[in-house]
Amino acid sequence: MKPRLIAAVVASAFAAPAMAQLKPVSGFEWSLYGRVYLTVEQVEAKGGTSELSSRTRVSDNSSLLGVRAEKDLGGGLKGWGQLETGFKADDTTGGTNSFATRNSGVGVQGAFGNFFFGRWDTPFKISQVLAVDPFGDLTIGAPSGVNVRQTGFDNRANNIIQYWSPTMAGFMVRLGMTSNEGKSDAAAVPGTAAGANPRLYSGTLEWTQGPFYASYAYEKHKDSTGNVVATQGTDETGHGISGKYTLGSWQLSGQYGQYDRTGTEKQKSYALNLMGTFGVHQGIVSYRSSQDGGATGTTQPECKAWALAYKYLFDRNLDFIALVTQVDNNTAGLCDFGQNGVGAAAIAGGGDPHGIAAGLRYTF
Amino acid sequence: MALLLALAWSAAAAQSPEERIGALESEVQQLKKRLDALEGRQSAAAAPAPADCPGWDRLRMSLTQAEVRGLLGEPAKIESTPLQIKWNYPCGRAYFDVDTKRFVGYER
Repeated sequence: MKPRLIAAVVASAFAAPAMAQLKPVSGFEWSLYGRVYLTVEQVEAKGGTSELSSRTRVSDNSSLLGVRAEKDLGGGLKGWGQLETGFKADDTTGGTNSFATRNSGVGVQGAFGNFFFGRWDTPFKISQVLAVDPFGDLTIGAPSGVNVRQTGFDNRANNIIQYWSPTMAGFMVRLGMTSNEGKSDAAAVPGTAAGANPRLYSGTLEWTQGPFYASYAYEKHKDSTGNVVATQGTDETGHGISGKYTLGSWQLSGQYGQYDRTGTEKQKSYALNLMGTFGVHQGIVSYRSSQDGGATGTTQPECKAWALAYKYLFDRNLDFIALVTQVDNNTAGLCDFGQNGVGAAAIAGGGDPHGIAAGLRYTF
Repeated sequence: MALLLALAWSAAAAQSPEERIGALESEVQQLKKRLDALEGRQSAAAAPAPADCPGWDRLRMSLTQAEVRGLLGEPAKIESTPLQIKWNYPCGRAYFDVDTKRFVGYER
């Protein structure tokens, strides 16, 4: 049998079932997307009570695979669903390769805005971290290890219901609230999970006009720390403002926040970032600082950090990054890298995380 | 009638495999066109082919969306995933990074 004939036979064998599965539905669209982002790093943390000696790491920076589908329902209404899964591309440590671990949900969108629920980034994170962080909250250079209460307000919340308004005169509102299905029916024991009724409320007001972006955000964690650990009697609240201004090849961005937690001093932190993009070359300079936030009556934490990065943009799929970052903690310091941190033990007593990294990001 | 069928069968049998495949491909194309017409889709062949695509040769990495709009005009359709924004034109697609909103590449 000649090759062309073989191809025709094979094609006809598969054609019928394929057409049955992929029958076009008017108004239905879906997309598969993903990212693989790995860096090779040299990290260490000196000066603490338990130093982390210099070592080489291959680190994953939130590699993911997602599917998003939308269906036009007519009358300007659209139904949508998204399942996004984080995959560690370097190893399986931590067992994070389970399904739909990242932004996943179902919703309805229309002239009224977007209403959805599932597991999703909180409005606070969207406006105070993702909108203004030139690192995209990825790599050891990201500021969130210093700001937003050392990632405590950098949340992707489970069981969250959100509403995003349409943009009117440049303004939009995002509101979110989690369910309290983690509620404990045990007798309340302050400082433990017993009797806790954990819940998260988050909201932001954002304004975008041409090269300007500005936002205010509020978030409350009831009976929990960092929306992660149910802790009866411990509440956290955060207020943040952020802004971004683009002028030609330059982009200046910043964020300032104040964070209260039951039994601690109010923590204040800020970040300033400058990004320059010149064709395929991109440079980032970032400085951040955090003060206080420790238990009342004790030595208060304080830290300063900076990051310097260079990116080479190969094309729409691939870019290269090289960066160096340094975090300086005082003896009570709490700060770490934004992602793939050295850990609390290496920071305790004033450990100063330092790292250099180089890597590739492939996006599709 | 039987005679006609016999003639048709013998004619088909006389064709080489390549000729039969060619005929089948042609028939599939015709059926696709009919299906597109019945479902109201515009087939690629029927789409208005742009005479030229001005501006595409001037695209450069990291242009802003305003700059790309200035070169290519308004996109016919905008699509996005959580990672990339895609502007569709009759000539091709322009892609933007979701975070920076800057042009990162195109397909034509």
